[in-house]
Amino acid sequence: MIAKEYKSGVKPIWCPGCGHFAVLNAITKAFAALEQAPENAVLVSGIGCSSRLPAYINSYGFHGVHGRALPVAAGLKVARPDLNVIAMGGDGDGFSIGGNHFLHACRRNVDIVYVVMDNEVYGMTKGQASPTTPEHWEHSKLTPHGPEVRRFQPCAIALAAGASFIARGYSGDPNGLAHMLYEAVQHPGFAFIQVLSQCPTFCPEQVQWKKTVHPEDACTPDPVQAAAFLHADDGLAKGIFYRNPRPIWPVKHQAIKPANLRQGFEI
Amino acid sequence: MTSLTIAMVGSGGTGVVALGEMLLRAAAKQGLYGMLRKTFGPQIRGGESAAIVRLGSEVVANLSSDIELLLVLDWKNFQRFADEIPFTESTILVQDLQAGERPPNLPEPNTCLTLDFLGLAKAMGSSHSNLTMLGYVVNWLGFPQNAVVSAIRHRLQKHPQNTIELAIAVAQQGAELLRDNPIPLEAPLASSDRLENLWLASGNQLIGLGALEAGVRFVAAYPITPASDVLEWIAGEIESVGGHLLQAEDELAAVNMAIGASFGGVPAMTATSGPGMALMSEAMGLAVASETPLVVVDVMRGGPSTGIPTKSEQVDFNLAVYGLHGDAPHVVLGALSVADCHFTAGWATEIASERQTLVVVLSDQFLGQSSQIMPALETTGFGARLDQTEVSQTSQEGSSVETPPDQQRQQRYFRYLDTDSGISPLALPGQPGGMFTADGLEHNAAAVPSPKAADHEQQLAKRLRKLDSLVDSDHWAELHGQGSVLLICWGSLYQVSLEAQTLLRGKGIEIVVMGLRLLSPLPIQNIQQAMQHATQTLVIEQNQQGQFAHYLRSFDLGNLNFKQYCRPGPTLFTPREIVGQVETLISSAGANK
Repeated sequence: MIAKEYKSGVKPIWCPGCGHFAVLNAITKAFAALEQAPENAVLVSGIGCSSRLPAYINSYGFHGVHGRALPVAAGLKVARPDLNVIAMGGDGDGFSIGGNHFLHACRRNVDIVYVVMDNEVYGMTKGQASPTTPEHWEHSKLTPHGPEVRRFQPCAIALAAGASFIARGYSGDPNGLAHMLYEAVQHPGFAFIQVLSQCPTFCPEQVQWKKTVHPEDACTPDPVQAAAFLHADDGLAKGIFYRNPRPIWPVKHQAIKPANLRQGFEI
Repeated sequence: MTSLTIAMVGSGGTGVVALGEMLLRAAAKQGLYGMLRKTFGPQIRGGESAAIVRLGSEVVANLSSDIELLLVLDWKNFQRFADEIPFTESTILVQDLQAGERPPNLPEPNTCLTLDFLGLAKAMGSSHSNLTMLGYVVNWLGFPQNAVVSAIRHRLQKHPQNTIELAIAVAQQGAELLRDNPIPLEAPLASSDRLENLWLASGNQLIGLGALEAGVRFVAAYPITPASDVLEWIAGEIESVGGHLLQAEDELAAVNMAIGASFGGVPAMTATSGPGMALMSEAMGLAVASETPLVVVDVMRGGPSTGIPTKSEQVDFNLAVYGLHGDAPHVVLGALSVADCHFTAGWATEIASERQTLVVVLSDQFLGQSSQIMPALETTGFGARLDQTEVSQTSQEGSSVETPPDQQRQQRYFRYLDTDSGISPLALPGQPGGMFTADGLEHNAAAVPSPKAADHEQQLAKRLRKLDSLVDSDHWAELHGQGSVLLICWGSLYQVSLEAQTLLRGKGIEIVVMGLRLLSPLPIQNIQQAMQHATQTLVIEQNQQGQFAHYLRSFDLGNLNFKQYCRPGPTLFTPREIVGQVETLISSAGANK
């Protein structure tokens, strides 16, 4: 199948110029490169503008509740390891309401991909600060002085929590993102991609990303090296930063006792 | 004597619960029926604990109103259990020499035996007075030595051989005490002809068995008292049948993981208690809206908030029935006995898959954590039916689906097709031609998000309609007896009510006991029919506000009415308490004439 055949034909609700269109295109390109059978892929999302994406792809999808894409995806993958499961959503969904699941998904290392379309804002509720919003961003009525809260560092936190594949893409570079997705799907274990995906409606200043996002060839299997890089990072580096496969969950056990559910009750 | 109740108390760590468990297992070995209720304070060790064992020659499915024999290892903290151990002067007291001082405000027992259980154990190099006491009691019950030996071996199976040998010898020393210190009470007679067919199980374990036998193959778990042992039992067994149990980071994750697995076609459940189910309620609504099969088991404990985690109370009825946001029709079942946990969990699994919806199973701490000797259970015959269905090829008239000209997807498969039964053909991931996005957003028949009034009405109606025929199921309730008084109850009160029924019969009063298993949708016509045949109806439940009674009143009962008796936990309902309520009901009706 060619890339555009992976689109469902349902018209996206996104604003003109939204970065999520590019993410949608990158997913279809990656699927084409992977020769993905559409019926064997499941896109799982939470709530938010970006979480509407599964309906736009010609595959199975699950559009759940706010913040819980990762648990749905993990349950599905453990139950159905034959499927290609990709969880996705926005920065509010993934790092705020779903922040705890993000940490534990990194630890658990179920073999899924997690794509966070990070536009540093709650778009669907019309422009409130998210965990990745700059500290002094004063454009939300909810936080007129700016959030005045230190920004969440998704990639550094993913590393600390145990993610085995960490990358950052940019909606201005859909081909580069498609390549990252391709690699992430191939990676055995939990693969996290933060995508800088601009919101022209609430954060028009993100148009600057065109000039400020910079590719970095920093990929390492060494967590110490990756940590040093990510702590020095300005948040605008683009590339695969860390890649180090480790045992996935569920771990396969050799000796499973024979099924005899009733034996333990017998006197 | 048809049944005998022995209570055991001591501070946490003295082995009171182990004593109760070994006593029950020894009784089972001898072909006696019985039940063990463990009761703990909030601490795991160093607090207080008590065990109550009721033994009988017939099936024992609830506790009695009385305690015939009280074994005291240690009087410390007894007061905390005083409510649960109705100690009277006719209770025979057997206490350790070093049990400490008996609390002053207790009745003076007619018979009190003070024996040196601890000293005897210590003389043999053990500190376990519970073992000497076990030997003593089992000897009095007339069990042969092998019964106590096998109970000890089972209890200590993970211990080294010399520990086991010592324990057996200590128990033997305790048995010797009986010769000079007999207990002036008749022990229930054991029957040896049913030895082969007895089980020893708790309600929590049987929830697990019922679910796995019906096909559950994915369980997501977050620990909570008193539901953890549902999950722990399953964890030990589910891999042997090819499934997985995943320990989640919280209840929000647990319920969503189960939904994810179920979306993949693998029957899934989770188990929790009130606080956990409160956290799960958002995603439970998602299961309803997305029509994803899901079983959530709530082993109820005292509430609200953290409440009384280790005690039983029927307080989550409202949460289970009304706790979801939006118009979210779903099924609520209540298990009626320890053994019925097996049946009800199986039925829940089948309903969830068959009707593609949420089923909540209400159990409680009493059913869940009491162990019972029972006739071996037959398989329920229930099974999850979540096989791939042929997906519909036809389009739906009147639907607002907008089919993009270059895409055939929506024309081919209507995930949420509006059918007569309300149940739509279900495609599973991996099935070509069935691709759709399951959604908690309101959607049209083709699973495309839609806020249109017509779609909303259609989808709401179909989700409600698919539960309609459930009320016709034979399993809606257990009905027992004939008489002019109808006693309606649910959950763990059913077995207590049956014993009350027997006691009332002894007084010449015949009543009908209705134990409701299907709580929502409520089989109101069946209930009305039973009420019409009765001159009086009494609804009982173990919560302060009469949650079920209020619900029942919300239906149109015409000129039928009922009285209610409700009170909170943590003390259990007793048969005698229910007898008193029925007698009051009858006499008040007499006075009104």
